[in-house]
Amino acid sequence: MERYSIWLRSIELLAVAVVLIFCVLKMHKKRFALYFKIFLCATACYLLFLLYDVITVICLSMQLAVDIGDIGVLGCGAFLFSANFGQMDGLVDEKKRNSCLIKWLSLLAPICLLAVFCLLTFSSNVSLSFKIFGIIPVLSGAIASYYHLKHILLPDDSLGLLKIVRPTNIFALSFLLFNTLFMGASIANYVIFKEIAGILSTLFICVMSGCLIKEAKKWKTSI
Amino acid sequence: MENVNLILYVAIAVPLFTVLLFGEIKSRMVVIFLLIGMTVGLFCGEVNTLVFNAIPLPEELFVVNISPVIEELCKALPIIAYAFLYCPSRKNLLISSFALGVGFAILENAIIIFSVEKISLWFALIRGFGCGISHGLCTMAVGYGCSFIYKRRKLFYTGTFALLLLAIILHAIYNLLMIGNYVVIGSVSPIVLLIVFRLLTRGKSNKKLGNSL
Repeated sequence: MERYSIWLRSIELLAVAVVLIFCVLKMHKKRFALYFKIFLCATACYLLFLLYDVITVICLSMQLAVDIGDIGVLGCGAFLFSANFGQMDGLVDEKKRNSCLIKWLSLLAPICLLAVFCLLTFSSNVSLSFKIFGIIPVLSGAIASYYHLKHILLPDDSLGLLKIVRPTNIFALSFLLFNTLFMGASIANYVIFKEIAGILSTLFICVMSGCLIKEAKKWKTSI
Repeated sequence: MENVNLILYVAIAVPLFTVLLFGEIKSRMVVIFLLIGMTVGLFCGEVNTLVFNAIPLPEELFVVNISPVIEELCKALPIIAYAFLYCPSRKNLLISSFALGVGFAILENAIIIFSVEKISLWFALIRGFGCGISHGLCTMAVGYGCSFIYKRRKLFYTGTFALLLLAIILHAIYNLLMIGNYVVIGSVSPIVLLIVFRLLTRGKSNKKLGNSL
């Protein structure tokens, strides 16, 4: 990894750590819904992914192109999926008339993410095994993106929850998009593209986490 | 020479096993999970050796990339089985998970201390705190996910998987710090995590601890 890349990764790590600590302190004072805590776990997983990247450079003499640090990205996507599928979807999907069309439209999100990833990696000269293993961390995020887009497109539910969490879903979807671009660019070794995507994905996850606090307070008053 | 790992396991497990003859059910559960953790540790040692011989990776890359996956998966299985079969309360599940992780760490530390030439009290303290707490916390994370098994089945499947991944990457970072000559930082970080965890759950009473988490 180049020197400027390590510095950039360290700054991103610091930013996510500060935002996460702030959010945990805010959530600890008042009891917020499990849905928001799971989102914070996703942020924590992303933080560990960045931490692993930084520590690997310091501690190891050699690195793999696809390594266990990518599990941080897989875990982040898994937590986002868990929050939506496990918690939210059952509450807000009232199975109205147009929800079937919205479900089909929501499939665009994972298809686009995977298409973008495949386009980046398969256009490069990297070996096929790296491309195949590289897609695994991105899968959970792609599945989560379906629910994020679905919860953006669904009309407001009777409890008013969708209206509250819509901004978080928009930021989460943006984060997943740029993170997928980052993972693809890392494997394909498009350095500048990778760094820009990395900065934007960190920015969106920080904004998403900050947005959670505001929404969590509204959630308490709406139920 | 006979299998040293097995000898160490028997030397530690047999006295622990005799404790089961006494005490209440709760304290027996902790000892049972300590024993299960040690058994899982013994099993993981053999699996790690087999996989290391099969995959052509340098030792440091193997320790960081492969062994956390094997160990966390093996530790998770008894917890998932316990949650499925006995439907324990969240508090009991968390305590049992932590005990399993600590049992794993006990055997791992014994094997490492037995194989190292120069050992000191400082080394033992670092291994004891760092390894014990990190294994305990990682297994407890999976235990927390398992606590949703009967109340929210969807959350159990997805949450347990996500928490398992979190445990794996935490374990990998710990291994990375330990092999990278940042042993003190690697050992202190689980202690800090444990303190943070206890501070976050401090305000809740013993009764509510399991429900409010």
